[in-house]
Amino acid sequence: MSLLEKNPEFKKNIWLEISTQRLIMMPLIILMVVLLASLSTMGDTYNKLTNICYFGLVIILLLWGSKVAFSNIIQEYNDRTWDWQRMSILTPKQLMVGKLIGAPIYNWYGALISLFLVFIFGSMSEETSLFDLLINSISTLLLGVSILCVSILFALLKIRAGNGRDKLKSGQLFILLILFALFFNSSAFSFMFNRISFNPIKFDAWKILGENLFYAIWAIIGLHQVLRKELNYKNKSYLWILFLITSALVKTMVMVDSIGVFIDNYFFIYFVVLSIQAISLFYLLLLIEQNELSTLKILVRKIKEKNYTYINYNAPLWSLTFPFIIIGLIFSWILLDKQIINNDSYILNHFVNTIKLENTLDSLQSLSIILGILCFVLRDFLIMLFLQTTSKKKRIGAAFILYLFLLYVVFPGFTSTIGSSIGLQLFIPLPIVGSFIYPIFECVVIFLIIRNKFKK
Amino acid sequence: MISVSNLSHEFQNTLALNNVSFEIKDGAIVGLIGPNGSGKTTLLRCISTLQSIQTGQILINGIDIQESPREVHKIIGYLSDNFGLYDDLTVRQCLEYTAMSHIENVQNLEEVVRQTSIDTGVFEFIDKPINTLSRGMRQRVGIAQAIIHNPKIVLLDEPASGLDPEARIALSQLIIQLKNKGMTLIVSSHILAELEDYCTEMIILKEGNMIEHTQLINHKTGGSTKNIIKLVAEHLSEEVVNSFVNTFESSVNILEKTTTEILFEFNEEVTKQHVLLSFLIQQGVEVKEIAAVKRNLQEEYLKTMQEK
Repeated sequence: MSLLEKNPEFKKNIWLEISTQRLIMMPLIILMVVLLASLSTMGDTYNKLTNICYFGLVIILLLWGSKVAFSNIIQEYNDRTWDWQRMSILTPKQLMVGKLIGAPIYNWYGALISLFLVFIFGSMSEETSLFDLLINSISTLLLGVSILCVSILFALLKIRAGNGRDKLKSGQLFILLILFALFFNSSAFSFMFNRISFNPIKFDAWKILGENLFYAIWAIIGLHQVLRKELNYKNKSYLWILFLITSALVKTMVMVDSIGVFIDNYFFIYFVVLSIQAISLFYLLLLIEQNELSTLKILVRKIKEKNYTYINYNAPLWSLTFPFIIIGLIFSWILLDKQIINNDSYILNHFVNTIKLENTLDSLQSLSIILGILCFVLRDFLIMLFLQTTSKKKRIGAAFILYLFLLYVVFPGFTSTIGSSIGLQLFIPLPIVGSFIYPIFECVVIFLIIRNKFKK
Repeated sequence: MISVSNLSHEFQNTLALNNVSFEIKDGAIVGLIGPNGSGKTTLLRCISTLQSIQTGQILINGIDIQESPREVHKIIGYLSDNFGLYDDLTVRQCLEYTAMSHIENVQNLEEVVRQTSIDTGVFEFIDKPINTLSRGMRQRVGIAQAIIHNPKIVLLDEPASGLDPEARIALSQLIIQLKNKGMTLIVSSHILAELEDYCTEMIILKEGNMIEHTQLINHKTGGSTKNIIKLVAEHLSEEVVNSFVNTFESSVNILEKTTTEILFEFNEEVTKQHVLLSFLIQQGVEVKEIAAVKRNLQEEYLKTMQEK
């Protein structure tokens, strides 16, 4: 039986996306671009055409494709056709193939034409190594699969937070998705770590291929899990936890050059990466998942009732991610403290440089900064809960981003300009003993406001 | 067949449903009524498994929907408020897709599509794209999608909104036709006059609370045989009314009374009214009027909303 007969979702997307006119247009446009490029290039024309087609592959699959996959879900939700699918007997696998290959089928078509041309021109070029091209192409295709999966996954999490009636706008959400993709992109992540100069990082094609393969597999697993949930299957939480643990491991391995690094340094970097990853995902999930007070209330009630089955199946991902912030920060501090006591120059030199200390970092200072980070995360979570108590529920996400911008960029900038050390401690975690008292104070104030609002 | 017990659902910090319980028997057409934001759509979405249940239980044909939601999908058809159609597909494609994704190992796909389109009156438009159809026709295609797998229960969320009078009459006929095929229907609507045409039961929701679940009297599709009778007299003393109630204890249930009027349920054939009249005349009551009253759904609804 063909895929068309086996998979109604795929078949429907073929009906919607493919027409003779569109089938002709895609290769025509690609060939016209190639023709124009060949007329205007000098030197090794084939090498440049290879690069242009490769660029075309990236644009068609990664950017346009992810937009199509993302908008497809949002549109299905807005048109209420998503309800049919959720109530169907389609399996998560059928739906995944339909959404991942079927909905952006036109982009896959364009991507394959571009890929074909990449190899045609690459084989004609004297400067291009076909083996490198093959590794890069596989890597890009894997990245394409990851980004398409994450786009769909992102849209699914967003619609789950909706009430099934109000329409969603795909534009703003897609910008958030791009930011997320940038965060998980190796080069963006390594750039961030290069800045804090653990070690110079040299990427090679194999490392990127390995990382892309890892994330493609997890993206497919993640999408399958979310689709299972949408189709009313029961999911257990352990896969998300496994993802958090293994993702931090892969990031650490990709980032750290093994030469001259002791095992403690590895562990320290692992827990730092785990904390950063957990914090970033926590904020992102707060923006896209169901995070209202009622969700929290139900969760607390189920914990009190010791209904761990409910928690295992229904806990929002942000609530599963939060413990990893605590675990990551505590172990980072323990390992940092050990290095402080042993006066380990490898980490200390880099860490001291990173946080711009004059001379050294003692145990209490490191504890203050770790507690400070934890309290600020908690404060921001309370801000999100506070926003949930306001009446304009549609703009909560935008308001949260605005608050974060004010609290981490505008106010610290202002206080450091006027030279107020205490003022600065109100907004960012600093290695000053006792500085974590300020975010604790802020947490208490916001908590009292929320409680007061609730009582009213 | 549908049993909802202690269902509560909180959304966006609002209690959309508060401890709702009711039972619906096979073959009923239930009108789900209530003002905007009363929880009608949330209730339908909970029954259809589209909304997770936070507290309470829903059993459909004895199946707990939290335990086996996928089993429930096979016996439920749901039509959302804007019909859930793919504008760029033809009616045939829409129905083929729905049949393939709702019927296990579908045999005779073409025949299933053809028969459903005939049953719902969309056969003559079968090869037209959805975006060329009128709202009334789109709604029929929506219903065709909801019933293509021959479900036992059909949930229709505001199916009549935005339809012209002709399409509304046709919808009423279609709903009665589905009931006659053995389906149980829950229909939420604002248009009460229309629900009256086909509903056998009414559930009223207000601010998430179920304030009334009643069998409808004198509805057109059968059901209860209770009659409501209005009696108007020059003067009705307390003694006369008590004596009247005591005499006809088993068949009379007083609904409203004043010194000149009583409204009561009469649980006998309406032709036996003369017995009541004879009794009242014997008691010396100057009867001005005695007649069966048809209380419509709108009156029932308004009365209930005022009382609760």
